[in-house]
Amino acid sequence: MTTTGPDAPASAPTAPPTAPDAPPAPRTRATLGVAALTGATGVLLLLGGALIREPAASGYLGPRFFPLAVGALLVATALASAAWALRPAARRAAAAAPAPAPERGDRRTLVVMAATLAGHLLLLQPLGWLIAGTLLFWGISTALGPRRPLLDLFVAAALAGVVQMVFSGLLDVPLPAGPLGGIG
Amino acid sequence: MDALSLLAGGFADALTPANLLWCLVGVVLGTAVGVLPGLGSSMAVALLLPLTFLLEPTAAFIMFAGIYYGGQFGGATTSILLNTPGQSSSIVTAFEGYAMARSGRASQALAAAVLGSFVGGIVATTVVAFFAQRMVAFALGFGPAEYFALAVLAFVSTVAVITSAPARGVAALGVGLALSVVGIDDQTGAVRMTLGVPQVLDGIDIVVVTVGLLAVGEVLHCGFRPDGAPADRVIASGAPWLSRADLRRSWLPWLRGTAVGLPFGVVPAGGAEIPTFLSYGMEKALARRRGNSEFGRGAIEGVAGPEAANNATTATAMIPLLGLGLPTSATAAVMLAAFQQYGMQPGPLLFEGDADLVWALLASMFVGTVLLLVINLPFAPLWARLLRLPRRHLYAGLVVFATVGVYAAKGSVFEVGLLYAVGAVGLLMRCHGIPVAPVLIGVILGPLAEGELRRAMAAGQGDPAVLLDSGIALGLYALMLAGVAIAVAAALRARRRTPAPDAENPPVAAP
Repeated sequence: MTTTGPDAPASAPTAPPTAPDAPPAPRTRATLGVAALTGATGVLLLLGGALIREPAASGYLGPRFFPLAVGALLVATALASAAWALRPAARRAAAAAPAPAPERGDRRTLVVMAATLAGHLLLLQPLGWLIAGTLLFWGISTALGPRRPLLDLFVAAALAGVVQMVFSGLLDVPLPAGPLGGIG
Repeated sequence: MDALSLLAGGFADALTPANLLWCLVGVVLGTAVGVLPGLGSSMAVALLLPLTFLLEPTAAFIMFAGIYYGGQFGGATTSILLNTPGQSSSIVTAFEGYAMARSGRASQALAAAVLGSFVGGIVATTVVAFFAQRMVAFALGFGPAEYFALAVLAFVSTVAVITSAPARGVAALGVGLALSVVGIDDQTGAVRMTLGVPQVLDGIDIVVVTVGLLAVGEVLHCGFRPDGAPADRVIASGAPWLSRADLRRSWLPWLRGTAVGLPFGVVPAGGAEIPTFLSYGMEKALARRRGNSEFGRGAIEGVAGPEAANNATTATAMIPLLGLGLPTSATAAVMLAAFQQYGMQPGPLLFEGDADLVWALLASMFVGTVLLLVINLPFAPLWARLLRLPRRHLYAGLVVFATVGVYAAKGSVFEVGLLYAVGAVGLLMRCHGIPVAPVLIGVILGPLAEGELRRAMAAGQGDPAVLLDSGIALGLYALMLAGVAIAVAAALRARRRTPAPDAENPPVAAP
């Protein structure tokens, strides 16, 4: 996040601005991507809403109404947005104007992170917080900067220990103990 | 008016050295819990509530006020420094606060937040002390149609004002509304959109969505960025104090935020989120009009206004709590539990029956606000130094705290998995430049909008006209139309200035 400097466009409040590397006709494609996401959410809502089993006494607007209404609205928005982007005038403008495109990023870092998260989910109960939490911290920090793995491992173990003490000791929130439970 | 003498009596009860010490302990403990990402003021209050029962009532309430304000500040701190709001009312603070922190102005953001909380808290507590009994009458005027209008106003202002590209705002809002539908419908008991997963029958928790989208999504996105952001780079924490220019830019947002927040605590509309969003939108629109908007790059107005609104709302939330026995936020609900623990039944009779305790509580809210300012303002630069950690450690720590926070709150590994899944959605949205804020608004206000709409329709026997059959509702819709008209006019003017038509901003109908 440090890389988005003060000159970044103020497009969205939280989402960082996307990198301005430009594949062909990027603007149209970006808009279509958003429209596709909107439409997919809408279809999901329509399908999910249609599958709801409505109880006999549901009043005037039953449990189906809201998901179906929002779903329909989203599909309509997606279609309008796609049609708008595919107008000839918009396409000409899009071809002329440079625009943000979906990023293509560093797959390796992401794969290490995803593996770390998945591993943590699997190991949290069997190994306990101290070990699984240490691995979690270590995996993420190594994915982001693999230069000093030993220091990271030390920090990870220390932080996991502090968290364990604060949550189990002070706040009385039990974390999974794992095989180390008998010791501490 | 005798409210003054009663309040003076409350101060006399509250201002003993021992009570001040408890308040201090409360502020410190509350801040400590609040700075754990994902744990905010309501969590701080809930976790530390048992502690207050060890004390006699006045001391307990004064410590309670300390914990609450501390937790509030702690939640704002993590919003600003780590982009991880501790409570939904700090979500907005993260938008500009985190941008400020990134550009080396973390201390200023924290100071603006503390001072904003102080202004909002003091003004609102004064209002509560003098007008509580009268404002209860106003709150009773809100029915389903009015709540629905309020939710629609929040949705439309989200899409029209907060986001710059309506199509993306609608997409994000839709994701949020879709998430809000998941689980058992509380009016009919029908199972909705669970995909057969029993763990989501109770719905998807807002904490999971917030922390997942903002914190986990942010970390994943950081790893995904193509330019290989140097993970060892340290973010400068900058000069420690608010400059005179910062103060000049902040004082009006503080007051405006307070004014926006005040009425919202009185109406039970799901807590302090709406006023923070509205204050943010207002400050952003005003900055755009002034033509020197720093929004998106760390505008101090975007921290000052919402934080003041937030605290003003939470202070006036005491009105329905004390006057009607109606909790309007998670924190207020915990406080209701605390009242009942001491055998007090909030309601119209409380001001007569337990007057001493009520006025001591109000006085301790003043004391808590002042103590928070005194204690935390000097610490703002200290907290900001958190950013000097190597970034890979900061981000890894963020994931650790997000994980443990969600696990502690929900006690299940499934919820942690859900957290990571939501984080992946957050990554996807960031890659497409879709803002995540409307998702949160959709999740928080979706159930309110749907529930009140259905309640209104049931009350009107299926006649939609019932939605417009109220002065307050009509006023809210008029406000909404005026806002949309202004936004559309501004967009048209901007388009005329730049001749190329903007393919990203089709004129879609807002929901």
